[in-house]
Amino acid sequence: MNIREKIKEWKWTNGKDSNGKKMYSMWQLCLWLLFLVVATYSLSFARNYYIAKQQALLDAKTKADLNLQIASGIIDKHLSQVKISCDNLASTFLEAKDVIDENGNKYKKFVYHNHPGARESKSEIFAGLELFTKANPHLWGAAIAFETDFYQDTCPNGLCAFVRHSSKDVYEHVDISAMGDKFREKEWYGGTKMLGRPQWTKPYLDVIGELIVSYCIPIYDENDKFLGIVDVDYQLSRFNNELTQEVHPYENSELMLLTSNQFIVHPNRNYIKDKQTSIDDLKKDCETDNKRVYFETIDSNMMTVALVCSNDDIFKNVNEITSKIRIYGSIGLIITLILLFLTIVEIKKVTESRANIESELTVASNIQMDMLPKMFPAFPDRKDINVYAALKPAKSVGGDLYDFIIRKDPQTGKESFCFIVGDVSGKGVPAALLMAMVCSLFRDIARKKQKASEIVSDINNCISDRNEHDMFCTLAVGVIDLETGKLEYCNAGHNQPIIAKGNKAEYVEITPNLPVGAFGNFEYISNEMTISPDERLFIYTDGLTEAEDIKKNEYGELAPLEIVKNHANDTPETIINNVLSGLSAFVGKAEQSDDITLMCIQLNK
Amino acid sequence: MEIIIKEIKNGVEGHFVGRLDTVAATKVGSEMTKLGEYADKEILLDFAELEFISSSGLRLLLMLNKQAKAKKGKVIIANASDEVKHVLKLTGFISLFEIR
Repeated sequence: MNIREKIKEWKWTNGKDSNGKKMYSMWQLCLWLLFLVVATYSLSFARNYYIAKQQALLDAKTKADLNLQIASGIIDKHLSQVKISCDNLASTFLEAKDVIDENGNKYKKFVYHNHPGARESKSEIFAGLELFTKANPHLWGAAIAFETDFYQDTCPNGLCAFVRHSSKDVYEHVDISAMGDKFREKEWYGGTKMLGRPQWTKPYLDVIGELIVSYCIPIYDENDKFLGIVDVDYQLSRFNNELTQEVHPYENSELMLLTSNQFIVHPNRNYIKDKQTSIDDLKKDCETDNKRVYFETIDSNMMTVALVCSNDDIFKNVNEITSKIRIYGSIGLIITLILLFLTIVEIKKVTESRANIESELTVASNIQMDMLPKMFPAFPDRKDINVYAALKPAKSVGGDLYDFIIRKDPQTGKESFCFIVGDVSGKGVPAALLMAMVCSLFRDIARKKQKASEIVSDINNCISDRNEHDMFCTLAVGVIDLETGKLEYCNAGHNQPIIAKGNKAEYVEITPNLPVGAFGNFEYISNEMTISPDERLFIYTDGLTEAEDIKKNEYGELAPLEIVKNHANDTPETIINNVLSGLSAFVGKAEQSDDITLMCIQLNK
Repeated sequence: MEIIIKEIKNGVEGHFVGRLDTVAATKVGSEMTKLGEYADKEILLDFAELEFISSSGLRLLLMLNKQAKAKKGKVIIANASDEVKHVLKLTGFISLFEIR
């Protein structure tokens, strides 16, 4: 795979790398990052919101409890006044005795002392009740009722005197017994008689349809015989104003007072009396209306004070803060998004420009590589020379090179084979550039200069001329006279070649010279020897001997020497293929770090 | 790869530890610059603990040598192992430096 493809793959696609491992594209990574940011933000937001809501609910409960206490305090205050008034009324003609019941509770028992002959007349009782109602304007009315037999002489059905302040200065006198005996079954009379001690009645509608609550005291004679009831009525609508004024924990909260089946206090007056209800109905209604109900039951007369608060009010602060957080959070998120987007664009730009540079350089390097002779056999129409070469590039752009030509000396007309193997110091783009330069120079100079040392000198002078970065290149340049097999070999800092023959192979000592590019005008010295047809000349770059396995062990110089020796009678192609397969068996899965170039030459007669 | 630098009587001493391969060569730029400041004096490179030198490492030596040559100083290589010496010999670099 060339580098261009690698970059393409790395860029923005979601593919698999060369090992088949899944690769994530930048966009995917960014999306994941964004998802994480949003998720973290949402989670903490949700958590804070939940906690704040719980706190607001707690606050609401505390607030409601306090207000319910205020409400029941107001109700208590009113009702205890009623109770005191009733006690006062009873005390005007009855004797009060303190009694303790079986549960240890104290209450007042009222006893009638007068002999039946000395009892108050019907008109005296009405006059007394009128005086009492005048003195207690907060009351709806007052009544004194007796058993049937007590006033039988004057009232055949028994006396039930009721006085009510009906309008200014008008006091209505009613003898309820004249309307029949039904009142004796009512709670205020019958219930109290049954209970045998003072009690509050449940709220009820009186004869003219007013919702009232009564405090009732039973009357006994000295022999504990039940005689009748003293009763004081209180108009429940009197709570309304004070309660609704005093009790409003929230802007839109509503205070309600209800009995087991109807409203006594309700912001909507039409609901009072007309609407059948219960605390459970109220709860259901509130649920559907997105409201909450807090309530407390007053035990003495089965009334329930209920406070209805809307969720909007309870969570007003929470919602305000939440919406602020939401706004700031959104702004933050948008900024994050913009930054992320800008980063992506920047990364993309950088990546693309880098990819462009690298791909262009790779193209340059590829073009240069293409210039290296890759077609083998290289000289199919010639029998006298057999050459084979291979360049195994490392992943990063390296700087190995090889080339060869057959040229004719214009003066003598002799044909010679000229080869070059080189390795540029370092890797990457600078190495690739220098490699390309050396290749071009060789093609040009090798056609003009006959001697290997001259070719190396010329290349050296050309490169070192403006070599600001002190790049250099080791070279092995050889010229073989195809007629005589005479080899002139110039070694510019390169590894020593191997010459193999029969069952022997050895490194040839060749005078080392400085690599090209190091110092201009350096005098290069070459060595001469003769290559016979049964010999193989094997030249390589240090990528071979310095190749490492996963444990960083070097391949070394002996192993390739051994392989060349074992194949000394084979063709150059076979030798190189064997060296390469021996090498790959050694390195295993380790990554190749340097270019590897091998060249092998055989002469034929 | 590490280069320990200390001043000595006639110049500076650089003690090379580890492998001076292509990757390491890109990372010791500042140390090499420091050594280059003594280009007019004696730069002693102690290779006793240098395990390996690649062509990129050789390039650093070449740069140092050029600086020293320009300012009439000199670069001395000391205690090089046989392997490092072999590389220096093979590349002809051995002729550029005074070897001890």
